[in-house]
Amino acid sequence: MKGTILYIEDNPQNLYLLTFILKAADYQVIQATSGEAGITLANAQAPDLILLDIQLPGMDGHAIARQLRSNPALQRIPIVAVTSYAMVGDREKALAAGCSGYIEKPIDPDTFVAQIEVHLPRRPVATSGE
Amino acid sequence: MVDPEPLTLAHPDPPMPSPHPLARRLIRTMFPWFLLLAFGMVVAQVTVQYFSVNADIDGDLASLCATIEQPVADQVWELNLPALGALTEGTLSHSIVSGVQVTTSEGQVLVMSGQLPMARMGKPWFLPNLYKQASLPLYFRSQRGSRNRIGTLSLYSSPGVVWQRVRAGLLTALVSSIAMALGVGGLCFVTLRTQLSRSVAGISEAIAGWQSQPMERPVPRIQYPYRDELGDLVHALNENRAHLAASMGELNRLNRNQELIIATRTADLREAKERAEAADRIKSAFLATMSHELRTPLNSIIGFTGILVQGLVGPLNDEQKKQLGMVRDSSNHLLELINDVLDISKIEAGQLEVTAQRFDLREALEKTIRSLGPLARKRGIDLELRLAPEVGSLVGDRRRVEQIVMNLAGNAIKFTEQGGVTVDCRVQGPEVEVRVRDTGIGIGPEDLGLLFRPFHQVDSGTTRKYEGTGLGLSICKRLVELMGGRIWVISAVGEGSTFSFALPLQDSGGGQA
Repeated sequence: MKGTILYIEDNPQNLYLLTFILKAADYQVIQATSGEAGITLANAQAPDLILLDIQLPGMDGHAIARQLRSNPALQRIPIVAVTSYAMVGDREKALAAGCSGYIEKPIDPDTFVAQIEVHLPRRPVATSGE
Repeated sequence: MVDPEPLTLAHPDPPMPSPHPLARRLIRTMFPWFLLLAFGMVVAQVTVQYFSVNADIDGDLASLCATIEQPVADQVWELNLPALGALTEGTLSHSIVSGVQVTTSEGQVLVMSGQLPMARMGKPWFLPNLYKQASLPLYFRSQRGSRNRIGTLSLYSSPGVVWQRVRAGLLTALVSSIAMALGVGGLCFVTLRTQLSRSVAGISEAIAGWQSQPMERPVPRIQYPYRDELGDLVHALNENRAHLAASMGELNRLNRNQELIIATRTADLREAKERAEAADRIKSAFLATMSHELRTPLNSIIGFTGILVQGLVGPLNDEQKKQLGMVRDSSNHLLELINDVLDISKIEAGQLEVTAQRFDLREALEKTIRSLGPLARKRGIDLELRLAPEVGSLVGDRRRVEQIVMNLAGNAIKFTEQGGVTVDCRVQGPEVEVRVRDTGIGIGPEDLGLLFRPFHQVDSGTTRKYEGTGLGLSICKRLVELMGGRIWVISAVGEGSTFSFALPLQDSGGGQA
């Protein structure tokens, strides 16, 4: 097991898909379908990385990122935004809210794990797959 | 709404007493003529007087002569010269008599005293004889009643006598004329001053009073009691001012109406603008939502297909792999179409934006061409990238530059049956130029101009054969322009096409759509 990743996402298919890919890459995945639940889980389990959908009902990804960053205990955890926003300035907004990285949907299953592991510096960069 | 400023004339200075009064001017014109007239009258009067004095003197002289004729004749008969002298001397004392002469019938001068005409003393022939003369023959009357001429008595009156009489009359006439001229002139002057000038000044003052009032306001009429020329003038002024007030009132009313209309229209326009802006915000939100909503399910489709094809779930047979590969290709194509439609929607909505950040152009081009490798291999086309050594970094939107190259090179591969596609990049002056050359079907001149317009693919037949929305090139054009560059094509049917675009090396500001 390479580490624990918290994935906050409201779309069940995407949640399943990314969870599947990450599990296949030997990560433990904990899931949250709302910002509030995600923040609770982050506090409780201190994951190694947080994957964050930006467009969520209720509290949006930017607000979640800011709140996570405001907690000293969680400040070091990298947050990677996964979003289908593709407007100019989306990346800047995500980074400004405290995200460490930004991956645009649709994800490429071949390179997705590698894109995430860039933000896990202590881990050796693994190739995707088994 | 701002109340319009009532229109007024500039306030003039209050009327000053005129430096050149009308009365003075009239008098100045009249006076010389008046003087001339007076002078003429004096001359006429003096002339008449002269003739009347002449006649008087002639008469007086004749009667005096008759009065002294008998005594003189007696003294001549007796040749009593002393008595004759005394008699003639007495005659001379009469004011009209200037000279006396008594001659005998033989022509001998018995008495000659006082002033006599010059003829007697050798007067030149050309001077008129201005002396008046009364002569009577002297007779000796005998007891029996017969009479004998014994001499001639002549009384003379010099011109000085006439002149003396006329002079007094002349002076009187002159003085009275001048006095009358001055009197009449002065009277005229005073009358003009008091009547005309005062009236005119009063009218001027009233008009000045008008001008301190707003022009659209009715003002009291100027009062002038007489029905003369000034009265006509005053009437005309009153009418004019009343008319002006009515016109100005109407004009101001129209102005206010106009203001009201403008204000209403401005409000309408503002409302329309707000509605348009609201619509714009809704459109913007719609685009963002569509962008998200369309990609989210596609994300799942592409992702799941991907992991199935990878064999992450379990081993697949060849047919399953082939069909899943088709699902993946179709999904990717659908994604491209969605991206194109979203891009063109953003262009239409004026919301397509590009970033301006420095990035490594070499790397971006290499990555793009690499990702097109599988397609080129599948179609059996050679795909080559030639990077000039000077090509380095560029300020612009990396993703959009990649999108442009992907679109141009992807098209080139699609439209080329055999041969190759070459992408080369070099620095040309202040620009970096990317050229995509193919050995494909080429484009006819009639279609070249339409290439970069949206929703246009070269002849409708090609749409069937070559998949695509026909939006790619118009999106490329817009993107290039947003980054301050230009895009163009050189092509001939059967000889392939070269699509090129150039972007400024210096950041030209990126900018909004």
